[in-house]
Amino acid sequence: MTEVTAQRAEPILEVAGLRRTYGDAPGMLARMLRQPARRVRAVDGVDLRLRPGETMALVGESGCGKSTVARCVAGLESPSAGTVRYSGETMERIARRALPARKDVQMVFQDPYSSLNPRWPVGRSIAEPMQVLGLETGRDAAQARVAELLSQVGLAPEDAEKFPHQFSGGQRQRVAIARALSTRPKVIICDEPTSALDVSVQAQILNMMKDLQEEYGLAYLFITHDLGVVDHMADRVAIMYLGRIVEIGSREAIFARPRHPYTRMLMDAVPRLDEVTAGAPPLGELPDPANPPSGCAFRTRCPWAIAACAETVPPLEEVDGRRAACLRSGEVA
Amino acid sequence: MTELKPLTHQEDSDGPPILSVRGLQVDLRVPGGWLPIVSDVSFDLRAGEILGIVGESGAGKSMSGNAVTGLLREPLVRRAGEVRLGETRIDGLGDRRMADIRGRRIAMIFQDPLTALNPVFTVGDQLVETIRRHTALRGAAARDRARELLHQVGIPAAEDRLDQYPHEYSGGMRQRVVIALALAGEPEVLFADEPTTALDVSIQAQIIALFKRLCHEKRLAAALVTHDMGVIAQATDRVAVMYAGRIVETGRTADVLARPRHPYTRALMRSIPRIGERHERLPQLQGSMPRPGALPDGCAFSDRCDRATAQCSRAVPELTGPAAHPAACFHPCDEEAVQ
Repeated sequence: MTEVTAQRAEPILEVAGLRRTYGDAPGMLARMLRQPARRVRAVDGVDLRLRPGETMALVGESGCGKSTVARCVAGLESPSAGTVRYSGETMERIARRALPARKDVQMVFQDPYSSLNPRWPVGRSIAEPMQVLGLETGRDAAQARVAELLSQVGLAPEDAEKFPHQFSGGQRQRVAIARALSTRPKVIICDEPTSALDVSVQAQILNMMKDLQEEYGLAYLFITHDLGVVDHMADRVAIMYLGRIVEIGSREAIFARPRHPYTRMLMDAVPRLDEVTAGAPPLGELPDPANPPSGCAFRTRCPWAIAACAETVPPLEEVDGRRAACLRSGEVA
Repeated sequence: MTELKPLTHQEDSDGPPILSVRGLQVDLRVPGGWLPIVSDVSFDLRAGEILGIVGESGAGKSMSGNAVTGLLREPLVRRAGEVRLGETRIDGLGDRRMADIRGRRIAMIFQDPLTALNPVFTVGDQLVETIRRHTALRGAAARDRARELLHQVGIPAAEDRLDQYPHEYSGGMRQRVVIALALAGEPEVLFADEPTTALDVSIQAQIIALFKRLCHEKRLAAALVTHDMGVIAQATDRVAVMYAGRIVETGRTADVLARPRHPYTRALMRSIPRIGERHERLPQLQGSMPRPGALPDGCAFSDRCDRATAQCSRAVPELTGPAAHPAACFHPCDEEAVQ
């Protein structure tokens, strides 16, 4: 789908003010010792809109909260605050009332070995979502649908009888994608779907995911840490750091010139194949999420930081055709 | 002592090798026979130079390293090959003598720093113990050396950090500690197996910079085993590309990556999604690497190769071509560059 039509269409997925906090009130011992509560805001106010047929990449390093966003959006975790809506209906109502929209969203995980039941033939795993949602209840209809799904992902109908360990890693991820497709979803949340695969196999899976997107008009929320994959797959990109989105916009705008220093740092850190990177490597490490820096969380590693960065959390603001959360986004090159 | 056969495919301008491997063969013992895992692998490590050993899962890159450092365990067996450290053959040494060489003369770094560190001892205790085992330093001198090593690997406030436990370190800092431990015995040779694979890109860039600086400064003869062509490009001086247990191409890293001669290397390079080079579809290799025991006849890559002819199924090609950049292919990609 082209950028223009994608922008006109109503969002199929809308995330507003999403927060997810971990860690409970301190226990008795901690209270007696006057230890402060250790609460981690894994996700701290995230807004996202995904339109039909588009791919939004959610990018960041370990601990930035991208997988927590994915799990909240897929309904696997409840947000501490904020809403997740599919076609205008909240996830809460969809789940509680078992609304038909439940079939509209599916998820593909990084490790297909742990997301498929090792004791089930894969055909049974592929059919399970349809049975749970009452879609293809007849035995013959379900079998026919499984055969169709297997051929859509480049496997043979006979493979339905095999067990996960009889497949290679790439083939197992194909099975996981077939299962996600089984309910004819409109959105697939993909959490690092190719990170565990060899590059030659990754290319096969990414190409197949693009083909499936075109054929079925799927929207992908694509969680990854690999900017090469982002540039290949995404229409729009959201960069996360310590629970917040720090830059969001079209792939073209962000890759042409990042406007947040963290995006810049990530792009510079990707090991290039054609030349040895000159200059110093990135500074520092991710701060303790339970004890984040005041103001902008990235300021402790930021070569652009000034005193004002410690004062306030910079909001996402329009700059140069995308939004960035940086006081100096106009200067970042 | 028999004369060591020089490798035809290497420039010998950089002085004699510190570690030489010739004709390494590792097999897997199975009921009634053997399956080849690594076949006819030869390479040299020179002082101050980093050799990358790259391949996809199952290519035999880690097994090659483990066979050299004496870490193979049944049912994997080194069935042929010579390994020389300086003038000494070390391939026939028993476990105790190899254990003595590991740590002192050959150090190793693995992917997961948590398994290399003991969770119940402080980082200082572990460093001091390693220093005492491999050097003459004792007491305060050993502790001073431990602090100096932490400082060398870029750990700030080294004095305070000595008394902390591994869990109090971040992932990137732990891998720095593992590097400090590897350096504690002042080794000549360093084997690093996927040392940055568990790390985020920003931390990976830091560890690569540290690894390069230390290898070059301390004139270590280093091997870096990885699946990541980006890490190869950034960290290594020379590279050996492995496929199905064999080295299929080797040479200076910049040459191999810019002008791969083996069709596998070329296809692999093209299949990597790169920033700024969006394709509608990624050029992809069909299928996957064959499993041991299920190799096609002749060249193991022939069933996935777009240049294969009948000849490729008849014989296993040897490394041939320019001495500085040989490839094991009957039809190398010499008429075209990758980009």
